[in-house]
Amino acid sequence: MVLQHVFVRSVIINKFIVLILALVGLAVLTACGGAPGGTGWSGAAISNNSLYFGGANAKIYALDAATGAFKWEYPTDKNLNSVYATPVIDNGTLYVGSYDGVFHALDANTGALRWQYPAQPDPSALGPVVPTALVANGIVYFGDNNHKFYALDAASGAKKWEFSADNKIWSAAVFDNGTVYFGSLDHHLYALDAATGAKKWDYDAGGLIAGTPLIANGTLYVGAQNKLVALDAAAGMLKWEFKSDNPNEWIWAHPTTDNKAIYFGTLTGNVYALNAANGDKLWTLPLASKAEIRSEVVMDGDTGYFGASDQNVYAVTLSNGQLKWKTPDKALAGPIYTSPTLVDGILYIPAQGNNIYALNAADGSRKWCFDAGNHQACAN
Amino acid sequence: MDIISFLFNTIVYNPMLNAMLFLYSIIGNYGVAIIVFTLLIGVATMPFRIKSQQSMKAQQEKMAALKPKLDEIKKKYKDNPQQLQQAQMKLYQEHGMANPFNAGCLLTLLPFPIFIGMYQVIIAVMGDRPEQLMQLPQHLYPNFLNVAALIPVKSTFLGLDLGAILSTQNMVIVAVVIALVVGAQFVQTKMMQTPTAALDPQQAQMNQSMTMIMPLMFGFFVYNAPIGLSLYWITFSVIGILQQGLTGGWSGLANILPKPAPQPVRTKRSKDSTPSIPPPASDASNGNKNDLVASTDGSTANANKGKKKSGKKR
Repeated sequence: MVLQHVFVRSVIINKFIVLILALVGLAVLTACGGAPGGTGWSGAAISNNSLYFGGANAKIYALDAATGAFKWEYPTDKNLNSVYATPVIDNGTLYVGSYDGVFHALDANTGALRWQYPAQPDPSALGPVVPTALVANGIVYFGDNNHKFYALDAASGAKKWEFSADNKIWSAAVFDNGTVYFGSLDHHLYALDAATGAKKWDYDAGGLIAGTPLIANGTLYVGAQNKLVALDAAAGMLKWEFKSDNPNEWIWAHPTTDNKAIYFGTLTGNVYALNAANGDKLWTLPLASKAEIRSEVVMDGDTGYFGASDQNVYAVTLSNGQLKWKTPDKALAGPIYTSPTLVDGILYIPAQGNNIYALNAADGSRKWCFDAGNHQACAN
Repeated sequence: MDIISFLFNTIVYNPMLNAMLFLYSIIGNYGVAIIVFTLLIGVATMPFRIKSQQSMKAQQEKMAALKPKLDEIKKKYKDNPQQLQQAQMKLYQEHGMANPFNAGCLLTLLPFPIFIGMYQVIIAVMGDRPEQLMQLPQHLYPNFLNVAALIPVKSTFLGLDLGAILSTQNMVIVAVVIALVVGAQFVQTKMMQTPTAALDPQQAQMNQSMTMIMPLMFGFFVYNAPIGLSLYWITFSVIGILQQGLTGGWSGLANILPKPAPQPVRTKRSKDSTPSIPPPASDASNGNKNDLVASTDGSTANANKGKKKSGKKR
């Protein structure tokens, strides 16, 4: 009877039902498939037995590094949209930019705000901030989505200078010999005078640069789309480049080196070791999951550690590329897009989401886990 | 949700993404690439949309033809809802109208997965969030395009950043874009309505609701989406208007404009007749109702004419 009633009514309003279903489907399916949203990928910083990181709920947390016990969070009354940058601690001050277009300097002990730039959120003054800040010689350096690179006084937040690129700046900067180096989505690697912001040189790498460069022994190494380029840091001249056969194998990770080889992961789930002098491939470790690797390979002797988007942490022998261990499948609650921090045999690594883990570097077993959303130990 | 994501990516998202980037690689401007892509989609889906409109028109005409019988049934079983529904159901089944989800209605759904795909393509390629751009390579066909040179795309069109969320723009831009989205959708929907639909008051009421709700819902949706999506939907609606006009005629445009108030008909007064004064004009959506009322008054006028003639014969 009810079905008949519905059927009869639905003949009359069939178009209406179909279109309402379509609109509901539209709302649901925009959340399925295709491109994901974003929640940030802040890494962990350790200083004075405290651990600092940005959670997926867009707050900065301070924990006891040994136990994971909660110390403070910032801000207490709102959130920062997203936090992609890893906090940097320098002289008792924590520096971090957030996606709401504000750069913060906090007291590392208490979380109290020391200064912020700009004083009030203003999209024209500062756009969303993705990269981790660089602090060098009393100046804080970072880029934003407005294509700008800033130098602020670390003590007061006063702007010293700014530089304009042609696209977003997601790469953190590195400092060497009075020069700051960073990449941009405009395909260029820039070298600026650290004191004045004057451009020394720029290099068109032929692909977007989203990862942080490495500088070692006067050579700059950076990923640009599916290439790793090695440049002379003083003049910006190309020394060598490594190019993947797969044009969709993008390199977003920060390369690391033990001065013999360059190690980096790719977004198609491969880890490479290249000869630092000439770029010859030494070995490749392909992950079975083909997960994205944005994490750098953190080195400790002959072992390298990294996380991947398949929610696992891996340990690899650097001399031959053999896998040492990996965490049990999906042992971590979310994909890992940031690098682990290794201190005294413990790996600290936030998963995307609100959980941060402390793992034993020897075998990947869990020491503790903290759920930032609930301010307590993880449920499992 | 994984299987849905897989199917959606394979059938809709990945082909659209690669096609859009291919067009961009030739044209060099992402806004123009969106317009060209929409044109191509419009041409490719035109046979389906024409079929949909024909099917819906046939459905509406059937409903109009059945109206007298439906009225009879309502009158006969007005005190017995159960028998009323059974009789209605039987009538619909006899005339092949028992299936609420006929081909015409299902084809109405066709633009929606494309709309969703376009939304995903725009936010992926514009790279507003790092996670979005980072996952782009997974959806690119191997060795199809020189992606290194294309990404990130140049997203400025007519002074607007197509990747920027509309709600973050100034009020003038927001108002103009939403007006274009809502207006184009409204015109297209109005043009698709046929006058016979208005003969059934329930159908007319439903059509009127839909005509208002659909454009407003899309206006709300694009407000929180990248501006590129608004460009796509405006282009798609304009194509729909042109297609409707070229295949079904432009008379539907008359539905949009308010009908002028009919002039009162003055007749010579006789002792036995009263002047017929039509009711005041209302808005376009009730235009057909006015036709009904006018025709009723026309009948009255004819009766008065008859009386007048008999008066004259005296």
